[in-house]
Amino acid sequence: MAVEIKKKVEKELESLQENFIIAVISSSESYSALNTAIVDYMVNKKKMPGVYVTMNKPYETVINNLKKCGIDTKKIFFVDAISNVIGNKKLISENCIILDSPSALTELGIVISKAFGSKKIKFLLMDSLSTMLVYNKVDTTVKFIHYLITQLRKYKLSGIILSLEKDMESKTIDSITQFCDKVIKI
Amino acid sequence: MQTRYKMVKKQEVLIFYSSLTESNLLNSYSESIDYLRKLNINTKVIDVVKNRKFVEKYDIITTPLLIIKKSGKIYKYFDPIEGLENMLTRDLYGKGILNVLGFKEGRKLGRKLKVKKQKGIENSLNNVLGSRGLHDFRLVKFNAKNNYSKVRGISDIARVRGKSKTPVCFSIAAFLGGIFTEIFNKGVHFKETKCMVQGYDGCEFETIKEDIKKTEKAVKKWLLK
Repeated sequence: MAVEIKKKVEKELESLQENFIIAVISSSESYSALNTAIVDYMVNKKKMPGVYVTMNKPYETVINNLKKCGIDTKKIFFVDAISNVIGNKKLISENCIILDSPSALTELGIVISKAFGSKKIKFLLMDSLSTMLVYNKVDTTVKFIHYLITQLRKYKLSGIILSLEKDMESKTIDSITQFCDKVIKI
Repeated sequence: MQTRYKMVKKQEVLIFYSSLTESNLLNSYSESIDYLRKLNINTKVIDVVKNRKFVEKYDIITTPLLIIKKSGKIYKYFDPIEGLENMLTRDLYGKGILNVLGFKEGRKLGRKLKVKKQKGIENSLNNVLGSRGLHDFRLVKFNAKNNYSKVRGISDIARVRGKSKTPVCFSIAAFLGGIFTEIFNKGVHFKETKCMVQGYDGCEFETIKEDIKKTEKAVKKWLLK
């Protein structure tokens, strides 16, 4: 299944113009493979440095998974919104910032604007919109995603917003994905 | 590591639900089910409407219900999160999933609360939090304007654990976060600041404030790298 997903991801991403902003909606079965395939494409194939925002998996778990799949994690700057609330603040790394919580959107906004302005990165991956909606109210999330996409366009960067299909109401998907160039369902 | 794997292999998890009354239950638990399967724990999800054979075999009288079989011995949990608690605290990823589950459940409960004032919230939560393992609930501080709250209670999780230097009731903190997100109408999270395992006579939880200065400092450090 992972090989199939990788092929699908490559085909979809190859067809997009430069500096694309997409929402990728997936089932829970494909989610992990899809996530890795996207990072693999952006980092290993396109050689782009990027920001990985994780809302439900701690930095340690994410980086181990990516390393296992042969992804060059030195090119990625991680923003970990979950470790502090599950009591894992001790882990501090040079390429990771631990936010106070997944609802600390002001903090996340600051990290994003500073990182984007630094010209050190070329893309952002948000993992995931569905978890962001668990921890935040719908209108707050919509406003934040709008802000995020505005910043991505301002700095001419690519953005990938991942989401699990099961957690999303179609009304919410529409209100958020209207800002994206394309919605891909895998 | 090998011993731990053997221990994991012997376990079996059965989750019973009713497709008639709990159609969304599978959505809520799908991440934890995936996680258990990745750990090679034999995990079955059983719809009591379609599988009467299992219902009779395990004497199921109510749902949702989670059964853990360890070396043939059966442990029943009427609250699946309570049952998953031990299994999901094996590693950080599991803790992350447990946090999402607890927060979701808390928000569900928070939506049902009709009261918005301190005394009313305290009384209402005192009645319902007992079943979630937090007794003698007290709302010590409450400021709706600043989305701030400090709460205290006696936690079942801490009561059954031995001594520890660090707090252990993070799943209760997640549950409280979900409830107060609905009360404040803004995403908030709680951190356990005092825990009974540390020798205190009760557990204390406080809303986390965003530390913007710390974050700015960390980003600057990264950019200079």
